[in-house]
Parts: sequence; structure tokens; C-alpha cells
Amino acid sequence: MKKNNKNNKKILIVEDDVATMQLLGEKLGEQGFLIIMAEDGEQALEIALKEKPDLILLDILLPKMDGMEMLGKLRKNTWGSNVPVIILTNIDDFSTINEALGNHVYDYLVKTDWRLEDILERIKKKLAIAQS
Amino acid sequence: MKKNINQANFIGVEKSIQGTLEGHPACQKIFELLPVVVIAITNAGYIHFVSPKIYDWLGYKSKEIMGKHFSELICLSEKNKCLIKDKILEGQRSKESIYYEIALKSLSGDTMYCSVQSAPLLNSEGSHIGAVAVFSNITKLKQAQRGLKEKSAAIEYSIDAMAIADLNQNLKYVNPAFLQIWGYEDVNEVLGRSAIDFWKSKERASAIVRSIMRDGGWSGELVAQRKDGTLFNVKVSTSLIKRENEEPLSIMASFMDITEQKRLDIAKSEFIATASHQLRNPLASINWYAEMLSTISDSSKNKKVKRYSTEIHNSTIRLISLVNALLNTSRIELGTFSTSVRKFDLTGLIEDILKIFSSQIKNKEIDVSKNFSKTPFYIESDSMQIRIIVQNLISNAVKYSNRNGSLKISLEEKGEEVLFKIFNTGYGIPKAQQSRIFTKFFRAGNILDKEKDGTGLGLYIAKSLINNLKGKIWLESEEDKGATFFLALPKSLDKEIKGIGELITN
Repeated sequence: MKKNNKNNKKILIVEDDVATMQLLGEKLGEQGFLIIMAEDGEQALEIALKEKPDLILLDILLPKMDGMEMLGKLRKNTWGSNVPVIILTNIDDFSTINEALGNHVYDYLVKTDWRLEDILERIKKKLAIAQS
Repeated sequence: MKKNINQANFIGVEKSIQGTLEGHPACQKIFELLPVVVIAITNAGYIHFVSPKIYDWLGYKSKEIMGKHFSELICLSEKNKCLIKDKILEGQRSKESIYYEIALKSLSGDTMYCSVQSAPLLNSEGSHIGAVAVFSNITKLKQAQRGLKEKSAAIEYSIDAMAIADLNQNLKYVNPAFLQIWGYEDVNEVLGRSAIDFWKSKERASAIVRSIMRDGGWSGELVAQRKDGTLFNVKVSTSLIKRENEEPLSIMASFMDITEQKRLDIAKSEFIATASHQLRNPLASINWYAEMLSTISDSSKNKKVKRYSTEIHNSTIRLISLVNALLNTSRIELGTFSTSVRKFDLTGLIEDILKIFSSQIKNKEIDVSKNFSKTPFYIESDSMQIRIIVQNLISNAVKYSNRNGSLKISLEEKGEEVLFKIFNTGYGIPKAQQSRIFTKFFRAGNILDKEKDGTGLGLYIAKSLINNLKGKIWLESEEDKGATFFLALPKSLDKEIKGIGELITN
């Protein structure tokens, strides 16, 4: 967990790939976000409901419970039904994208298609933080 | 004396036939036109008359044949000739005409099949003097029968299921493969039943029968139902068999069980999805770390450059190992890897591999113990392939080991073999899935939801290489307790080089 008082927005990063998780945590932490992390779907759901982050960055292929199942369960929760979710994954088949969009995600981003800076910009835009 | 009388009488008969022919050109014409050969023989079996058509059939001029023994024309072993001769002579002694089939031999050695209708020749006192036989050429019929026999054997022994149904869709023939694929034991359980019964969707099967009747055939894939109710995928090809007048006669169908093919197709698609996801993971980190590297501010440069470069390097290694697994798999399948045997120390190789995993072992606080019956332990085999096999087994043991777990490696001599054992505490492999663990793309169910990283290729590659090195691999495992993999390899492999490619070690 990394803290910075520049802004008080809390982001949950759900990512099982350690290298990617550290990288996202570091980049977002530098921007002053409060970062919490989860390595699998079960843990992610538990932390999300407890910590109530302002935004969730969610991978799909995850141990224990995959991202789509976690999203489905999250949306059934009163608080969880409205939290902004950005899918950040390498899965890009139509059925998964459709399922995700059916559970109203803010963005569906394929990792290899996006620059880190652009992902950051989208997060900031959603959280209505002025570009620095 | 009796024989002489008969002989004399016979000559009289022959003369009268010939006389008839000469006397009546119309009769001669009849002999020429008839699609048969007429032969008259004596009681003893000597030919006394033969119609001229024999020349077209066997190449003999009728004059050359006169006086020869009938058995000289028969195309059979000596023993069979005797049997035939007895039969013919016996037939001559009866008063009835007899029918038989016989193979004749032409002057050039060809075989000609004939049906023979033979009638006794009697003299005016009513005693036998010989026989007149009418030969019809049935060679084509015989050949057709033989062809038919071959074709029915092909259908009977085909590994594909085949069936014939009448126009009311009731089965009138199925081959043994049909019974086997559909799980029946006796052909009587099937014959007479509606062909519609053997499919999951009776509506679809009925619709297909209608289209066969309309279009003369149908081919495609269908879901079939076995005797025990289980379903399987079948590739079907059907056609309407017609009479010469184009009237439908029956429906013929052949079926290929494609369950395994389907299963492999699905496994392949899942594999491609997983592999591409896993290839993209390290790619994404390389990409993003490189991006971060290029945007570092001067103040924090040194420390960050070092760390980001390390991450890029690590991700590149992961990417390379994934690509290698894919390449080695395709090489194994194409048979394009080479085997080169040399002497090397197996303990040294194991120590080298353990070093690769030292940081993971340290992170998970795994207790590693080694028990080598001797050090160094020299064997003669392909060190590159053994490196891949052992690295795979150690990598799995580390990956699927629990935190604070233990990992035991041992090496001992068993006659002409070396036995390598590797045990780790951890998830283990469920009993029901152990038989499939070495198949391509297979990943144990209890691992799938815990560890997303993995292609299901490692043990498949290992098993293929072990086979190549004339070794054996097996396992003992209890779920949630751990697993032991046993690897037995010949201490000295015959030096042989095969294949053309090179294997890639990760």
C-alpha cells in the first residue's frame, strides 16, 4: 500500500502478474493515488467491498475467481453496482468484451494496445482530476 | 470289350453330329452364334467333339483338342482334377443331366470360369456311351463376385462405421465398427431398428433422411447417441443407392467418430487463447517499463534505470521461455529435433538447474534436500533433452510447492537405469486426472483456478523427450499432499542421431 496526499482517490489494482502489478502500483502511486492491490478475484472482491475504492483496475484471467465472475458479484452489491471499473487485460474475444460491457464497465483496455500514459489519462478523466 | 462297343457307338454319334453340321449350314451357323461351347466326351473322359468356338475361348483349334483327355483343359491342382474327373464321370453314369462350375485353362495360361450343363449320351440299348456338355463363360460373373467379396470385406473390416438402411429408414446392415462405436454387442440389437434412433436429435435425423431422399445424399456432422445414452460427435456421409432404372433401393451411410478430434480442437482453441494472453503479459510489462524508462526525470535516474531494465530483462526471459515451449512442441510434432549422445554428469546438471530457481525457492522458503547415490554421476545420453526434462520437473515442483514446503530430489542406480525422483509438498494432482497429465495442453483442474501461468505443454514436451531417450516417467500423488515424479533413464543410450532440428532450452 502506498500513500500520497496529493489527491485522496483510492484505486484497487487487481492483477496476478507481479511485474505488471508493481509497475501499475508505482505509476499510479507517483500520481498521488492511494493504491490497494489484490492478486486474485476472491481477494479483490473482499478488499473492494471493505475498502470501497473510487476505481477498480481489473484483469480477467485471475486465480481462484476470474475477473468476470468478480465483476458480476461486485455489481450485485449496492455499493459495488456503481463503482467505476476499468478492465485491463489481454483477453480480447468478443464474448468476454460483451459480457464486460453488459456489466457496465467504464473502459475495456487491452494491455498491449495501450501506453501507460494513456491509461493514466483515462483514469484521471474518470476520477475528474485535472491533468498535471 | 464293352468299352470298345461304347467307343464304336460314340464315334457313330460324333459322326452324326458332324454330319448334321455339314449337312445343315443353318445348324453350323447356330454353333457359331451360340455363346456356348459344346463338348462331347467318352465315358473315359476323352474329347470326341468340340464346337469351333473353343478357339475364341481357349486358343485351341477344335482339331487339336480331339482325343485329348478332358482334364487337360481344367485349371486346377492334380488332386482337384481327380475330384472333378470323378464327379464328371459319375455324372455321366447317371441318367440325369448335371450342373457344375469349372475353371478352364487357355493355351496362353489364362483362367476361364465356366458353368457346365452336362447330359449323358445313351446308345439305342440305353447304355451310357459318354456325355454332351454345354459350357457357358461365367468369368465376368466370377470376377464380379470376387470384387464384391473384396468390397464387402473392406466394409466389414473398416474402422469407420457403416450402415445400410431400407427406404423406411430401418437398418438392414451394420458393420462391426458401427456396433463398437455405438456400444452395442450384437448385431441383432440394431438390425431392423429405425436409423433415426441412433441420434441425439430425432427431428434433425428425420430431416436429414428427407434430404437424402430428395437430393440423393447428405454429409456433415451430427451428435450421435450410444446404447448407454452417452453422446458423441460423428462425421456422416450418406448416399442413396439406386437401381439401374434410377429407382431408389436403399440408403448407405458411413460414420467417423470425431469426439477426440473435437476435444483436441477445443483444447487447441483454449490453448491459443491462454498462450496469447500469456505472451501478452510479459509483452505489456516490457512495453510499459520501456515507456517508463524513456520518461524518467534526471534526478531519479540511476536507481530507476537499473530496476526498470531488470524488469524488462525478466519479462523478456518469460517471453522467451513461452515461445520456446511453443517451438519445442511443434518440433516434437514435426519430428525435427536431433538427439546427440555424449557423456555428462547428471548431478552437475541438476545443480545448474536448481540455481535458476534459487530466487523462487528462497522467496517461497522451500526446503530443498538432495540425495545423490554418487557425485559425479555420469550417464551417456542427450544432455540438452535431459536438461529440458529435469528443468521442467524442477520448475513444476517449485511452482506447485506450498510456501514453506519441501522439495526432495534423489538420484540412484537401478541396474542399467538411473532413477531420478523429485517430490514436492503442495497441491498434488487429483487421481482422476493423473492419466492425462502428460497429454498436450492438459492442466490439472485443481491448479487451473490457483495458477493461471502455464501452457500445459511442459510435461507433454518432457514425456515426448523421455520416450525419445528410451526412458520412462510416472508419478504418485495425493491431492493437497504433494506429488512425486519418477524418471527412469538408460545409463547409456545407443549413439544415434536422428532428426534435423535443434531443441531450444529455456
